[in-house]
Amino acid sequence: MLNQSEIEKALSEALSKVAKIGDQTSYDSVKSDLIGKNGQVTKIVKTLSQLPPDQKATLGKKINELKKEVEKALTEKEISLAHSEKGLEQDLTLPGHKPVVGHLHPTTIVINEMNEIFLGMGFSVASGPELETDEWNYDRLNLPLDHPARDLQDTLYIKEPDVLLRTHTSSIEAHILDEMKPPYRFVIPGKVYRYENANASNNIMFYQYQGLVMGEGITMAQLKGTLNTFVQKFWGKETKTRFRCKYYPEVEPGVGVDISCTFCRGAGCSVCKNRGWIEMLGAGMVHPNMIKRVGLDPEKISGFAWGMGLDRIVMTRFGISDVRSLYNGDIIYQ
Amino acid sequence: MNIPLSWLAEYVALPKSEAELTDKLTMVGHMLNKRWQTPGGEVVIDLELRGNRSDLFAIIGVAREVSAIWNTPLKTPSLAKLPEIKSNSDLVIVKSPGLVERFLAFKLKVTVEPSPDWLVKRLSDYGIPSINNVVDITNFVMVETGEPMHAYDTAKLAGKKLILRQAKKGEKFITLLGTDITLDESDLVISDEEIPQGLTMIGGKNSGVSNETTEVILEAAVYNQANVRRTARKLNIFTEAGTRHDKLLDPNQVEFALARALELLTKHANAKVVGEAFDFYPKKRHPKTINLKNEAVLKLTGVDVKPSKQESILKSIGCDVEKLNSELKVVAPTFRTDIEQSADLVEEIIRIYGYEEIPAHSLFGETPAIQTSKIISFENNVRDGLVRLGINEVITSPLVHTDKNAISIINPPDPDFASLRTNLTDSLINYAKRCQGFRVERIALFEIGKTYHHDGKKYQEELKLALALSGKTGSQAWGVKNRPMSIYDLIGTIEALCEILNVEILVNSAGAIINKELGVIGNIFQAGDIFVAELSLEKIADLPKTPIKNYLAPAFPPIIEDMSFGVSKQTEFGQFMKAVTKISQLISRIELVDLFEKNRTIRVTYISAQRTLTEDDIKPIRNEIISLAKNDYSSVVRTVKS
Repeated sequence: MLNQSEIEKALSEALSKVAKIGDQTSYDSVKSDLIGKNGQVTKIVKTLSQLPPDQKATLGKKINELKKEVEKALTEKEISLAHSEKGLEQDLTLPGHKPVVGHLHPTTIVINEMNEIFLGMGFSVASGPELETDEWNYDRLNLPLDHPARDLQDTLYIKEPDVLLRTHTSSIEAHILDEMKPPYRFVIPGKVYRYENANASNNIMFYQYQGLVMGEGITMAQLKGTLNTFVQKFWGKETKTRFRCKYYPEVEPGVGVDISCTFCRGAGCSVCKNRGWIEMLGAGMVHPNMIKRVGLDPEKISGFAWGMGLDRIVMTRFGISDVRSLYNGDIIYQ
Repeated sequence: MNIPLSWLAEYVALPKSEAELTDKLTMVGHMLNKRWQTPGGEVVIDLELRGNRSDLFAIIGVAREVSAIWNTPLKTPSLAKLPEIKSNSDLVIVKSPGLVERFLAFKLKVTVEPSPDWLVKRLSDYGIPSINNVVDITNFVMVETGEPMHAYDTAKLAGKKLILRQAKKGEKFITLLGTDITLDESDLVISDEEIPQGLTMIGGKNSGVSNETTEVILEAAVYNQANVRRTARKLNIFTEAGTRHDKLLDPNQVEFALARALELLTKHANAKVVGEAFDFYPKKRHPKTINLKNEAVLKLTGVDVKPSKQESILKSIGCDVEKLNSELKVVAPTFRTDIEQSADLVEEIIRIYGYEEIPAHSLFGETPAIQTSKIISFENNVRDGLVRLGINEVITSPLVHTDKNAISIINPPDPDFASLRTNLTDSLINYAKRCQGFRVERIALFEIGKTYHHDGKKYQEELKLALALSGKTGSQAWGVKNRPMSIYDLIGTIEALCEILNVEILVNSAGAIINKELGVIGNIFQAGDIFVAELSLEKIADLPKTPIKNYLAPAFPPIIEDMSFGVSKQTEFGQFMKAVTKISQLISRIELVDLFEKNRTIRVTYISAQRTLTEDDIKPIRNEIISLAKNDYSSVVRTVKS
């Protein structure tokens, strides 16, 4: 029967054998001698089951230690062999011959990521004209001529007063309302245009991301659930949302959606103007006037819509501080 | 709007903590923009107010919201009795009734002197400088009630009356701030018998109340809001009065505001009414009655607010409410010019009840069919395909430098963004040049975007794909064969994209990209050392799909042989190679493996799925290739090597 000193002896013998290994061939044979099917260490481990119960606790521990120590020594030897042998022929730390990689534009990456989230919730993607008439850009969105909210969106005109570049992706919402039969769920990413003196934070052309859900029994609770899901998937589970009352002519009731500041996590910083919240989205229930306009009954059909600016989100994600950089040739993918 | 908190507290009890006040106001629709403390210790909050709530551009209006939220009483200020209205008064003549909804005015004897300290403080906390007691009281009451008003020095008015008319083209006016302004017919003026003495949003220098003034005409009005806004924007005059007049004000508030002003003027400017009042108010605005179904709130918000709670909230914002069977009959006060229908009342109820009480539900019911259009999916396939080929996506501005032949903006903010692009390649060439400037070694760019033109009848938008290649095939790196790119790298990229998309195109010797069914779908060209292509994405999407390739390893060995040809000047060798593939089913692949001066070597791979091929199988095909070369492509076979 084994005793403690025999185990210790076996360990020191095994370690000295490992220490003497000089190349891969001797490594393979020593490894087999020690922990192969009939190896010395393996044999000792096999005796474990035959030990009398009173010795199992003390000797069993020793035997396990023996096995672990030998295995560890072998692994270390294997790594050191790999370094010394292969290193003689080639330096594998050199940069590899990398195939050429193409990149998507940061804005496309963000749009794809958002589309992915909404596709999972049964949404389709829509697009539409950028050259619009007053009717689709304003009138159909409950913004008749001389509505004060038109001041907020300085328009670029092609032909006054009725041909213009769309000032928001809501114009596509107006087309969808007119053309499609509910129920439906759409997201609409796209370029929009405003009269701006371009600077680091405002551009003449920028991107918006619009959403529209219409059907029977659609409520603000679903608006909240849908946008909560989106926010937490896009910015992370720990991101909080705040839904507050806000006025937009094309919705009633209107909703402003804030997310907890992703920089200070709500503690207050310069990015969130010490509010702890960042204004992220405008949303609300599709205005009954717009539902009536397309011949539907707002008592039966309801829906919600939202819109958000994409560029700021893209800039934050990619560490870009000047919005013009996104579209002026500054991005060179080098 | 700036709200000094101690001023607000005159009309309503404020919650204990300022944060509670501003948090809740933010939640109900009036976001806290900033807050500060004046040197005198007054805390001022600046709320971002809603453009459709003209009633809130008033301290009393905000107090009414506070009273509704915390269910505390509203204290209204004391009022004087207005003079009797005389229907045939000649104090005012309204010559442009379409631009005026209400105009109420009367004459007062006043003693002009400096304002009392409390009044100076209130205005200064708000942000208006003190002038004299009469002017200050009109400003104070405007901020308090939301209704702008103006006092004219009667002595300075020719004819001692006010005439509301449209300005004459080129008519001059000097504002009380001393700014010279030229008017036209679109501007409403408040004039005397000779010259304009005021605009809707600002008074004139000439008739302003001064230390010499002893008698004034005091007026408050509601004008056509759109007209006010147009004039203000055109003339670039932005005032406290204009901010209020360009919203839908309640004409019924005019009396309340003037009665308040008269109360203060009597107290602080020794005011005495002279004669009767003039009132132009041809179409009285009546309160609206709206029937609100009990379930409307639940249906729109998902929150079950009990009818009794609905009733108490509506009452708290100033509505009269009568309970009917399954609905509430709601009469909204006229100062709530934003409330028009049931959904507006639902918003009122839910915002006071609390947006935070709305639960988060997921979209239930049957998922609607996916309706993403074919072109959107295709666009994504093209993007992914090009990225797989190592091409980088860029986005450039559709607005480009002024171009007389393009659709142009009437009001461009910048000549560099004045026209809509007619092609993508110009921008892409500039982009590539910019990359050259940054010493990018391998320039490989694509953009998917629209071009714009007018076809004589309609404005057209076309979705295009453009590519630009320049520089070397790779970046400078050890052990990598790096060669300058040529036009064939561009053609190869397009071919590889077609392989990914399962479509077929060919490029002719003029650089046109052609498909047999659809004709020309784009073109390629060279701009200096930049190789560019522009294709119609819609047309590529419409291309017929080629048969799906079988990628299985062949069961029988192929025969591979190289054939060299001598070509002539007019030979279009690519066309020849395409024609060769059509000769026999046994030809599985054909590649151009060498090119030297007028020699072209192709490698032809023959495979049969049924058996091992022999020379007998190949010979007739080979001969057909050779005669095709000779007869149709003026090329002579030189060698054939197996």
